[in-house]
Amino acid sequence: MHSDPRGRFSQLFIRLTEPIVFGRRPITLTVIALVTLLMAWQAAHLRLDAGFDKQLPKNHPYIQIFQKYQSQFGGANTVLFALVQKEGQGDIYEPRYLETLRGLTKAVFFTPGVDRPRVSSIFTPDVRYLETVEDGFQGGNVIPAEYAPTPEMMKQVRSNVSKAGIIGRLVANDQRGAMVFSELLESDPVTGQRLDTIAVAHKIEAVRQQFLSPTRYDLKLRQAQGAHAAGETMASVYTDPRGLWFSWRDHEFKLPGEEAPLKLKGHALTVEAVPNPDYNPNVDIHIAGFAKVVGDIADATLEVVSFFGLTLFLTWLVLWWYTGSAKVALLPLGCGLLAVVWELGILHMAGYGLDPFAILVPFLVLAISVSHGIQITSFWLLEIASKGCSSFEASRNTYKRLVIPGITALLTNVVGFGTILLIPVGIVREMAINAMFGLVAVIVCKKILLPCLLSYVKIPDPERFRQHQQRRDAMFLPLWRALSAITERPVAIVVLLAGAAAWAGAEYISRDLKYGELHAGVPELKPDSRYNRDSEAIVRNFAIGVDVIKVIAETKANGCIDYDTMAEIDRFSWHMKGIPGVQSTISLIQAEKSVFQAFNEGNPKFYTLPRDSDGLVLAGQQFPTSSGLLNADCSAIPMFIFTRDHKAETIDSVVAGVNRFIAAQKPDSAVKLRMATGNVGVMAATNDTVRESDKKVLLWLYVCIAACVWLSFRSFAGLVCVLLPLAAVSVLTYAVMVFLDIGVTVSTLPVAAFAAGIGVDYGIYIFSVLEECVMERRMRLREAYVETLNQTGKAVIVTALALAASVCTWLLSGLQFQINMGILLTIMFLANAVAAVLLLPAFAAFLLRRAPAPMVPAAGVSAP
Amino acid sequence: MKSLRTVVLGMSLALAVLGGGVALMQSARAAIAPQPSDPSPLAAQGLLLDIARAGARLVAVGERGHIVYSDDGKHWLQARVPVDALLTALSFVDDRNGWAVGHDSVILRSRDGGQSWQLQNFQPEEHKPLLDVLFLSATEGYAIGSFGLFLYTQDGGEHWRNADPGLFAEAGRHLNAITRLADGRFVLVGEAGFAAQSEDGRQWSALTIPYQGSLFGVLPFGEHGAVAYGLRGNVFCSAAPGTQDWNSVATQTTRSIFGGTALSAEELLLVGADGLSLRVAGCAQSQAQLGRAGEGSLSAVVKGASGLLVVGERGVQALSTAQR
Repeated sequence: MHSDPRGRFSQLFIRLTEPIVFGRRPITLTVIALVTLLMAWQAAHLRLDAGFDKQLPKNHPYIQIFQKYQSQFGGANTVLFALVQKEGQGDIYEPRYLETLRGLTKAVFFTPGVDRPRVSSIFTPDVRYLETVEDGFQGGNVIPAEYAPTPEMMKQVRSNVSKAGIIGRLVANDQRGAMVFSELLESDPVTGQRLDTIAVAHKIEAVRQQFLSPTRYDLKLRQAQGAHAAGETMASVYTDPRGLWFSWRDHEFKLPGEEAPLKLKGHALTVEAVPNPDYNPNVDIHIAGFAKVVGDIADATLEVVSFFGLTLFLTWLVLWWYTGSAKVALLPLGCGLLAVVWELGILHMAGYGLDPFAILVPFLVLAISVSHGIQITSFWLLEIASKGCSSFEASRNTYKRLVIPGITALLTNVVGFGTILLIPVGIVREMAINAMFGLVAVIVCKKILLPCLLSYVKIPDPERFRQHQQRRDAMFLPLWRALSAITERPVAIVVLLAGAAAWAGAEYISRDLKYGELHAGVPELKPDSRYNRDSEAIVRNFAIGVDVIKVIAETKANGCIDYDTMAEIDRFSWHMKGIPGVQSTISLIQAEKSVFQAFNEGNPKFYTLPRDSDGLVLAGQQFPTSSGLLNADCSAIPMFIFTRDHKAETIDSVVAGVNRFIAAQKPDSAVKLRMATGNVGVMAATNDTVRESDKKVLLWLYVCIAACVWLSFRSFAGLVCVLLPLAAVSVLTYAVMVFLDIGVTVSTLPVAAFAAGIGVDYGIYIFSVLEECVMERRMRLREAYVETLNQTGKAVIVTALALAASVCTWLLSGLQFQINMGILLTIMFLANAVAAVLLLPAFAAFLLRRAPAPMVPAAGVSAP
Repeated sequence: MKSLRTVVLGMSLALAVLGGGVALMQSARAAIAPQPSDPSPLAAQGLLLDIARAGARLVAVGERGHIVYSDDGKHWLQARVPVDALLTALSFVDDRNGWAVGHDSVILRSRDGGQSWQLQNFQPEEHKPLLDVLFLSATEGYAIGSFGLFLYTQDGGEHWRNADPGLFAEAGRHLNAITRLADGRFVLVGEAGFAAQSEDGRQWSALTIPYQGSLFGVLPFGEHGAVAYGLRGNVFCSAAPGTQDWNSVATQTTRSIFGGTALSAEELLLVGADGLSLRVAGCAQSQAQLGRAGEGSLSAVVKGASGLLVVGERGVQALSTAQR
């Protein structure tokens, strides 16, 4: 029995636990304090952990293809640096630009973590041009060895670039920019350590600053250090290192020829600002690549952590207003904070790191724990204010009355979060598990610690305190009376009809709900973030972009010397080029056609696949497996399909295009097209998974909540009164998502579960009191509702405000998915409260009947 | 369906053999069926290799059996074509009758100004692409191609016969282009500096051009003259091929030249690799003017009703006005 403390099990539970908690309060508190210390120590070791692997929906067929070919076709962790001339500048063929490009190539080459042999720009020796001359081929480096900044050389470089066929890749379409390609090593070749993506991302950013910052900051020794004389420059950086903590921070210098890095405190160094010789005011550098994304997300995540303080402050204000005492308000808040510490501690003990995606879980834990804290504090205040109990008595009564419904409500939350486990994406499951740890922490911190602490509270002037409570209650009374009109059937009909109309309208709008990202750019970051503007500029200026889906053409061994096989892949390539959203396609086919044309003196009339296998062998042998265009026995040929962006509709269009081609293939075709790898391939799989999971998760969520509600009330009325408002809000949220252009993604899908799991509390609290008033205290429904609101209404409002306060700070986040989650959760927390207060009594007007007069109280409840 | 098509093809090939008598050697296997060209929204933006006027209409051919036509030079429609081979050249004699040739020895004919096409020849087993086609009337025409392939028809392409007088097979060079000069004589150019001329199109004699590289095209120039162009910016001019020497025209470029057209009686416009355009106004050294006609590699140029149009690896482009 959810809200009935007289159930047999409940009574047993309370009889057993109450003496443990309240019998020896100092021991209880000491044990909790010791565990908290352990948890805090554990939590302090928690690390940010951004993994690519756990973002994959493992069971999806695309991902199985992805994993099958990852080792052959990458997995390439590419970082692109596009050096472009600013507006008003000319093309790249001028000495100053080329000098900067040369410097940038060098800087990228020497960046730790970069796979040096694979750095590529027009300044690297692997970039050559080839031209047909009368007696064969002639070639050379695009930038000749004898490069000098002369006008003639500029002319020659321009001509070589055109002959090398690199426009669109290494040189921008309009020749006003050039690219430095790099690939990152997955592990350090010397130490074997895994690549620290976040650290590399910061070094990549430093490379950009080296050319864009007008000032260079030299770190020099104040005093001699071992072999180094005073005044020696230890390092040069391009952003001002002097901050608040500069003098006390450790600075590490890895000097050439020395094994151990030299560690110095900031106060052993002087910083000298000098003009930066590499600075070029005419250029800009755009950087794109997975590592940079991870770095930017990690930086923004740390920013979000700072919002936690703001969240605490806002919640404290709400609590203060509610309790009328800044000191009392600190207790539920402090317990909430402890719950967060426990949650993080358990997380680390269980071997997890904190993923940027899951950074919102601590906020949620705080929200949930504050929401329960309000219920507890509210009851405790009521005991003191209206019954005149002492702090200790009030605490004990609170424990007796609320420990069971509270734990039931929390278990309902656990079940709600548990449904998120149905989404087969590692990162989401991790989030669900993390939240469940949080709930365990909340049970301990709220249900045991808070009443225990409250019992120690000294109310200096109980009379004044009581008056504050009563004053506040009186303030709300007119509102409660007005709201109670909903229990009159004519009004109830109007409310229900309005509710139904809103539901129908929301249902209609939400037909346009999309699965996947609705905006260009990396979805985690804001559309106008530096990274997204960078990658947008790269897509605009170059023929290749950062969004690619690779379709693997599987065929028999040596398929690439079979004309029919190659012709089919060629047809596929052209078919995809015509699909809306496709920017360009690259595969072995185009490469072989180019070679065949080159062997025919560059005559475009030979830009085709030779029909004989000798010709195909000749054209194909130019490409080693390392080119990524074929596997060792040429039984798998990837088709790179560069897409304009990765919006849901673009991905849907491209996937549908591939499927149309597959459907039109002959059943005995030698070519089997397999989706998909590449970032867009992964997104397509994720969108699919989310689309499939969405309905399933919601269904199970409501089944589970319904089961919990049924166990609590054992009545049809309870089910309808609690569930329908909740469902209405879910549908409404979908409409809001359509309205705000938010798609259903890995990050927004769990929001529904979180919000419903927490939102159900309102209904449970309101209905339990209302039912008790009607069934046991035999009040008229309208009066019963006024009484209910008087007891719980203010708690509901405060809970909604506190919940909203704890998530609305996410709107300030630099991460788009957190903004979206913040918007949705804030809306859902508030809407659930409103729906419960308005719709629940309207349903009750038709479903809840007073028990017949001569009944023994509680008889109707205890008979199952 | 597939077997039916093979049977029909087999029958038509058999008929061609029986009716043609001396038609080209047919492969007895006839195993490879022609694959119809797929309709594509990008046909006018993909690789196009030649463009020609059919009356007021423009028709262009290119990769994957793409043939596109337009009445205004702006809006292009894709024709239905029974093969998807790379088509290399086309020739129209009036506003209705035209022929296109390409890889797999494909010869296509249209009787309705380029909207629909019938396959007249398809021999993929030969591995001999056709590289140019020239029709003199609705009945008489030439198709030339790799390794000295030289075909002639007198019945509008119903039957083609090998009309090589021996010269071409002996040279064994790709024959890249054929044209008829203003005075009615023929000039043909090909691989490795190979060139030939003929009074009547039947008897051919080799021409000596002082160049060892390939010539990709030849255009009539003046009353009796011709201009040949090709690899690495090489342009040669003769006031009367066969009787007068070929002069090299200085072009100041090493980009290859793939196509051209007459702007007027005295001036030619040539186009080529990497947007190259070249105006040739005479046989003297100083009379070539270098410029830029578009994006990417350009293969052919034609004068349309609303101005010049070029085709190349990026499809049809209006000639950019930014001529340097």
